[in-house]
Amino acid sequence: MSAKWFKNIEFNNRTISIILLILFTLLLIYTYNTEWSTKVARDDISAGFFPKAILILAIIFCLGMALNKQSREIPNKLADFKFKNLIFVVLSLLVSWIYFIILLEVGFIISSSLFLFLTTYFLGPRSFKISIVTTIIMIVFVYSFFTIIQVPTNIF
Amino acid sequence: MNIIFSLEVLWWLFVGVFVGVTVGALPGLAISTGMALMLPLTYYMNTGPALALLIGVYKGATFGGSISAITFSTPGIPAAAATVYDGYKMMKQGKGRKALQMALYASITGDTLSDIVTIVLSTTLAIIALQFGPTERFLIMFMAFILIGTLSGKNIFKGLISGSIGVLLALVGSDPVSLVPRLTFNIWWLRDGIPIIPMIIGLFAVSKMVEELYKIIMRKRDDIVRNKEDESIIKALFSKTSEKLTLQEYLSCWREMLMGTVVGSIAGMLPGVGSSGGAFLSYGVAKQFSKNKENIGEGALEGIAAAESGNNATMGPTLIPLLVFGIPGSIGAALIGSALTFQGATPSPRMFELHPTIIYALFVLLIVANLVNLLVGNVMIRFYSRMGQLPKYILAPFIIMLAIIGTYVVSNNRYDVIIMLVIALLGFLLNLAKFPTAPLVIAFILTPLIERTFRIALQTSYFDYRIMFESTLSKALVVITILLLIGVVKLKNQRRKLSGDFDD
Repeated sequence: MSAKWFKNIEFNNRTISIILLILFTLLLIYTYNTEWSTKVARDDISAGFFPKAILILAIIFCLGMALNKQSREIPNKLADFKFKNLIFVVLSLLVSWIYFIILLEVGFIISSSLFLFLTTYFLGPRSFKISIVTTIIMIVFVYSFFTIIQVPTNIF
Repeated sequence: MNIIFSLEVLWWLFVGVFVGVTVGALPGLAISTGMALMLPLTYYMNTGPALALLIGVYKGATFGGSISAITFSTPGIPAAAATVYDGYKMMKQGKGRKALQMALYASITGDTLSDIVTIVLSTTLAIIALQFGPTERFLIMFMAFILIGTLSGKNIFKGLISGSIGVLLALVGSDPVSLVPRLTFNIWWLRDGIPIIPMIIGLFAVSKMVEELYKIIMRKRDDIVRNKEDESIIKALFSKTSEKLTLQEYLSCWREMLMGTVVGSIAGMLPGVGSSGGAFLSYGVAKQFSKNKENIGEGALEGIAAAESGNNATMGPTLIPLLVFGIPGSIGAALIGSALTFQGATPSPRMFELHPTIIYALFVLLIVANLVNLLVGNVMIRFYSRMGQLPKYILAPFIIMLAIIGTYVVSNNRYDVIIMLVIALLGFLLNLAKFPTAPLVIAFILTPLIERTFRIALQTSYFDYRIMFESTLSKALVVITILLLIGVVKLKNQRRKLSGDFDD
């Protein structure tokens, strides 16, 4: 039932603005209910003044977006996008994070060679030759580049 | 002047232009992607090389965008979309080489002339800007925020919401006066705020590459097949029989290049209009006033000359608001501003007083970069024409790797990488819903300045808010902004009609 309901939603500008409106309103409520927002600095301005002011403005802009004549337009990229595929996006960011963790543990050459080889192999035409050659070229290029600049880091 | 007249600076200028044209020639990568990836490197460089690298990328990428626009009808950057109309038609007529050469020479001409405008105007305006007090400075920054939000993208409210998100992200961290943590959700490593480098790399490099990865996963085979078709196009482009541009043909387009330079320079000075705005407006003007206006759009050199000189002419003038008021007029200017801040020269109205050597170095680099762009473009045009064929399955992982390393090495802080990846997801969603990202990053950079000047202005008036509209200058600024808004919204409508679906 809930999946069907979600499928029927048309992701046009109005829907987007309503989602943002809810998010900004929740953030405004959170800001009003936190201790820090009432703490006043020596210049008589509270820490919550600017966040509250911009959140109120953002809510007004969302209302404007929901009500203006372009509100029924569906952004073309969004029209082709299936939300179940958002998992691929999150997954690619997760893989990037795993690469970074391995980079910190074993250093640049091993981690980056693995990352580049596996990604070019599985995303490309599944050719060992292409993946190995491109990996070597890219590793040599990046390593030389960062060595020339002498970046003070522990990953190279 | 010894900060720029060295072989090291020249070397980094060449590297910058080379990287820039490469980035521009690759559809899917934006100028901001190239600059964002190079920004962390400038952290470890001296002022001259740092500026040379970024200016090189900035200028090179704008010309580079025209290469794939002409060769494959796929603009490398949105600013090159206007070049497609005539460039690709010339390509189909077997005059692709001539079109590419015209794009290069018109780009350099528009760029050089607009740099002279930048040098003359920014020095003059800087003297005026010094008369501004904190109230006027606050007003001008606030108005810039509204202008950038309104002018970026097609939907005014999307630009304003994007700007608001930028302000909110900039407010994360400790309050500058009371040092109380704001909007940190009790996460300790957010107390210092969101650093600029993870923000920019996440928004402009990784989010775009994630989008490319998504496309590869969804339709992998098409990507591989298209590359084989492209090979024959490139071979024909540089065959012995292909026509070259003559000096007479170049000179015959002087009117269109002049139109492009004037329109592009004005568009560049207005925060938020951007290089694609400059290109489409120049193209529109040439289509109305050119002697050969009937043929523009059907494969005419005049169309390429107007569009290319128009988009390149915005490059220098976008730096005017940055150098005079500390307000970046475009993403490129914002990134150059960030590099200047790393060098200890935060852009502000007093910049001409405090850091004259850096300003003049920047001016010299703007001009010299054009010569390097001309040289690199001429020598390597054949190589660049092939860049559009570089498969995304190689490019995307490479850029993501560079982005992660670039983010981490600036402060060797692993939390920066977390911030960068989260911002990348935000950038992906914003791109998906067609929210312009320029207002977000410019608002992010402007917010600390706006907050500081607002607080100073209130302190000087003993917390009387009426001070904001008391002086004649303040009132004039409000009137000018309203007039600008009306005028530019009209121009924007014209751009919408011309540009179809391309956005910054």
